[in-house]
Amino acid sequence: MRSKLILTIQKNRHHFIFILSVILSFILIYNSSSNQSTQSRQVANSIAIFIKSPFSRFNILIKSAEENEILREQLLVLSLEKESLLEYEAENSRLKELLDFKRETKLELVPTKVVNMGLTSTLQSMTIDVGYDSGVNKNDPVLTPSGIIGKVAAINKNSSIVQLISDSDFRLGVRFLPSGSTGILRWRSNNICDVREVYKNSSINVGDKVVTSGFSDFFPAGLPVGIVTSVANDRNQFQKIVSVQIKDNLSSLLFVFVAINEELVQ
Amino acid sequence: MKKYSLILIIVFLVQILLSNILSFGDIRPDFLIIFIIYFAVSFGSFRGVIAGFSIGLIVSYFDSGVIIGLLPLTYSIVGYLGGYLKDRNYRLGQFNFILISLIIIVFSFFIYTYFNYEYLFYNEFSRFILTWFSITLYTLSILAILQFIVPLRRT
Repeated sequence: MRSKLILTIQKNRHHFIFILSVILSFILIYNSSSNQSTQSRQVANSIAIFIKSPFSRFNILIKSAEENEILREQLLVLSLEKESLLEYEAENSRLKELLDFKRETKLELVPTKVVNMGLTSTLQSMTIDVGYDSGVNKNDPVLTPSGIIGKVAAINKNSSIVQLISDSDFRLGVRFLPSGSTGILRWRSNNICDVREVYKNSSINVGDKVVTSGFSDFFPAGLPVGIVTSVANDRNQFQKIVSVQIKDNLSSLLFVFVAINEELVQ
Repeated sequence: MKKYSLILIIVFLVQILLSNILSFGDIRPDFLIIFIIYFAVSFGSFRGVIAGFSIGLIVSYFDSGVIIGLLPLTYSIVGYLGGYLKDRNYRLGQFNFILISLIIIVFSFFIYTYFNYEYLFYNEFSRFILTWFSITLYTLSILAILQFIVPLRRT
C-alpha cells in the first residue's frame, strides 16, 4: 500500500509540485505586505542596485553631455527670470505681512538618482538612492521639473522605493488651471492619465495646466502634474473625463527630486 | 543543465539591464518567461515548475512594484504547462506546437495582469484587455524573433 502510494507520487510528481507551488504562491500573495517580505525586498533591492550601478553610471555619462547643454541654456533664462521673481517675492511677502496670512507649506527638494526600475513587464515602481538618512519620509511626493511622477512607498536607510504614477493603484487629486476645477487622476497608458470626478459644467480646455489640488495630506497644492490633451463628457454620468499628458518618459528617468515637507518633519 | 544555468544568468542580467531600455511606454519585455518556456520544453513539467517558482520568487524580491508570489505563480504555470510540450513536437505538428506555447504565455500573462490590474478587470474591462494584450504581445514578438535563431520545438 505504502509503496503503491510512493509510486503514485513519483509518477505524478509534476502535478504535486505544481499544486504545492500554487499553494505557496497564494500564501506569498496574501502575505506580500508583511514586514518580513518588505525587509527581504530591501536586501534584494540593494543587490539589484549593486548589479546595475556600473551600467547606470555609464548611462548617466552618456546623457550628461546632452543634458549639460540644455541646462546651460535654461540657466541663462532662469537667471533672468530669477531677478524679476526676487522682486515679486519681496513684494509678495510685504503684502502677506500686511494681510497677516498664515505661512504656506515650505517644501525642501532633495535631488536623487534613480538606481533601479524593477524587472517585470510593467513599470510600476523604481528605487532612488536617498532614504531616511536624507530626511525622506513615507508618502513624500517625487517629482521632476516637469511634474509629479510618484510618491515614496517604502524607505530604507539610503534608498527608497517609489510608487510611480503609472501604478494602477496610484491616485492623485488635481486642479485644472485657470478654471480651478478639481478631479482625481489615474494612469491610463503611454504617458496619458485620466482625470475623473470632474463636474460636467466645469470649463476645461485642451492645453490647460494641471497641478496638485492640495486635498491630499501628502501632496501640497500647486505642484505641476501635466497638460490637458482632451476633454470628453461621460454620457452616463454627470462628469467629464479629462485626458492629461505627463511630460516625463518614466522609463528613462535618471534624476528625480523628493519633496520633503518641512512642517511634517518638524 | 550547466548550459541552462549560464543562460539563466545572462537572461537575468539582460532583464535587469536592458528591459528598461527596450520598454514601450510602461510596457517591458519579459525575457525570463521566455527562458522558462524553453527550459520546461527541454526538461519537462517537474523541473519546469521548480525553475519557474524559484525564478519567480527571486524576481519578486528584486522588483518592488510586483506583488510577492504573483511571479512564482505565473512562472510555475508556464513551467507546468510548457513541460507538456516536451518531446511532443513531432506528435503535435509544428502549427499546434507553436499555438500551444502561445496559449501558455497568453494565459500566464492573463493571471499576471489580473492580479496586477484587478481594479481594471472589474471596472474597465476593455482597458484590462488592452493592457493584457500589450504586455503579452511585446513578449510574444521577442519569442517570435527567437524562433528564427533557436526554434522552441528544436530545444
